[in-house]
Amino acid sequence: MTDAGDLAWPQPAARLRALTALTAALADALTLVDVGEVVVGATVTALGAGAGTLALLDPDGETLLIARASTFDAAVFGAERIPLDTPTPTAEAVRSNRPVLLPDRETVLDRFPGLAGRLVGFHGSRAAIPLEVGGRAIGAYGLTFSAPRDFSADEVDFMLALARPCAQALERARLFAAERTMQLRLAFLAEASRVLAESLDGEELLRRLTTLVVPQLADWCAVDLGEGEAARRVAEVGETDDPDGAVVLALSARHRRLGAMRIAGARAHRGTVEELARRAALALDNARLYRQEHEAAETLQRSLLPSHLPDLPGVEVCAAYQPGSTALEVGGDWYDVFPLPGGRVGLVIGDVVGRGLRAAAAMGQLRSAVRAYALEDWAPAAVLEHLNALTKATDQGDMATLIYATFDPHSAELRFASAGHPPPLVVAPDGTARFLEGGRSVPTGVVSDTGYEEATTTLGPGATLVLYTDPLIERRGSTLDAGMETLARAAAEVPSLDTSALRDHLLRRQPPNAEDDVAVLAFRPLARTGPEFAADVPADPTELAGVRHRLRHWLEEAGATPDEVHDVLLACGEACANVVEHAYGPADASFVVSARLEGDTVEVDVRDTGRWRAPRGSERGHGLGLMRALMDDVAVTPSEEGTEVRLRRRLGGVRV
Amino acid sequence: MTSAEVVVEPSEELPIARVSGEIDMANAAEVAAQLGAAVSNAAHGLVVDLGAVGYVDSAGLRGLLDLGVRLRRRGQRLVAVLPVESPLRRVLEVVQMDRVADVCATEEDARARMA
Repeated sequence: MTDAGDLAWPQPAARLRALTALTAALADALTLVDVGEVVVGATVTALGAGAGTLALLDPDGETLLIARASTFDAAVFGAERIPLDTPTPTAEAVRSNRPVLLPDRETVLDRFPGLAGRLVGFHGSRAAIPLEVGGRAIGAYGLTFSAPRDFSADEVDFMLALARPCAQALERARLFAAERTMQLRLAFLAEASRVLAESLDGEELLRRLTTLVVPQLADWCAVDLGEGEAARRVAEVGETDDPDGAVVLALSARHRRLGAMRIAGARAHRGTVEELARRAALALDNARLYRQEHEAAETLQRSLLPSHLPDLPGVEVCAAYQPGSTALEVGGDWYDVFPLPGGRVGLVIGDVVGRGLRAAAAMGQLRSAVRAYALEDWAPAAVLEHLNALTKATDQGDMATLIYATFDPHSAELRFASAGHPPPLVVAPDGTARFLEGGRSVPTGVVSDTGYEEATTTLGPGATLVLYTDPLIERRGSTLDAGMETLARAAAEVPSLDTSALRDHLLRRQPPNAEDDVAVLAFRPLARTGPEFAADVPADPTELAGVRHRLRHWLEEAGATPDEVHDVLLACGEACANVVEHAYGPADASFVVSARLEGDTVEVDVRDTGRWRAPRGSERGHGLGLMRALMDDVAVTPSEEGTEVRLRRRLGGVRV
Repeated sequence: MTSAEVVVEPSEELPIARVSGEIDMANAAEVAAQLGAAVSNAAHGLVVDLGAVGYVDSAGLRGLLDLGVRLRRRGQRLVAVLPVESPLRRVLEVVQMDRVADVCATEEDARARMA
């Protein structure tokens, strides 16, 4: 009863040759696929079967993988992957670890009635032989013969003999594959960890995660942050037809669910993907914690700085603190601006040496102390002396560099003292920049009982004072002098900008070193402006008091000091007296007095339309002498139309 | 109209004229006349306290200078009292008031000067 498709059952000598050939072929096969091919091919050939199957038990012990099957056999007896408890001959052989011998169609139907529907056209016999390693079936191979056949004990022995080397080769290939997989998996995860560790930005990290997954592990990968309604897709790579059917892996760390990773078309072992998700979640949580700490540190630093600068009349001031972009620890940079008695302004910039909470706390104390001494109206050097004494006495020991400056809008005088701090920069309205090198002493907190120098300069309207901390002039691979030069150049480029634009320009032009925080303060007295003064005055001595009264009011509004008011009034009064005395005849006539502010200079014009008579005697000599003595500039311009006297006097300046 | 007030504390030896207000070409002659009338022949001179004067122009200064010259010719002295911080001080310097008058900070100083 031999089917035409089946070869003759081999004789002993042929069996030995077949066994030898199988062993040799298996020796060359390394991978599971190779081994499976040899097993199926060799057993089918050696036993003259029509078709063959190789079923392997999954490591989970519950599933059979059809590793290799001829087309016909797969259609009839198995799918790619079947549960171990499926009633099929190969599954039964694995379960029982015994050969399953089915001599004819009836026996098959009797023992496996579930296969009835799939036995159309089948009239032969079937055998399933377990592949045993260490007393346990790791799989089975199945043979299908086209004709019914009784399997003799001798034939069964031969089939079992063939199974032994096959089982060993499969086990070897399986171990090899497992080791190889493990190696690849470890290498992949190591690379993944490295890539994930490179970023502390959560979303950037997730974008990297997706590029790790696709194309290495899957066809498509998407990551969502947050849960439910709040979930937000932050990264997606690859393509899929069925995003809803994707495998979803939770991104959870430290008992918090941070989001989910979705994968479609996965090629990797699920364990690898799960491990990747676990590591990614941890990296994500680390980034979150880092950001939280960084933000907390920054918040602390900012809480110690003024929340807003006071709005002071006649001056423009702004400041900024820029934390280091990656620094976790807070720095000790600070600035401060506050009003002082007499309309003056106190300005502070400082830097506590060191970093971290200690430096920030010390900064907070120093800031308060400077304010306290300043409001007692100590001069800048005295404030630094007190501060130094306080630091040494309280044994805080924290070294700090700082500048304390006071500005008087009336005199335009800037007084300043520097405790080892980089020199202030002054940018004139025309863009000329200079550093104020005077008033320098050692940092506070270094030497007890040290004296502090003080210097003064004039800061005219429109000139800008820039106070800053070192990062603005410290650059890697560059000297301090070069850094100061660069800063001065940058500041000089944009003298017309308002202070906040200048501040931003400096911060942008000189990006501070990533690790360092930086503080900048820009201060500018504004040009005093106001309405022009004008009066049409009858040329009569009795009118002069009224003009003086009105001009006095205007000068006071313009911010002139009492002495300045007196001097301008007297000089103008002399000019007016000259007109009244000399310009006109007895007929009614009038003249014009006008005044205006040009920057910080008051300019008074007295214009008449008459022709001056020559002074009588020397009596009037004192008039012009007084004008010249009291004004910075006196110009008398006679013309056909009349005479103009122009008086100029700078307000708030030092009289030369 | 410019106004000034002259209040004289009479004294045989040293009358004191206290001036307040403003002095310019409109009232300089009148102020000068009042000051001149305050000095008797017997007096050592005249103390003019300008502490309450807010404004005095060259016409007013001319009146003071003339008074100083006249008193000196008569062997009498003019003493101007003006606080150190007064802006008028510089004005007196410009017209060289010290050539015809003593300039003191207080009336006490002036009396001491004349004693």
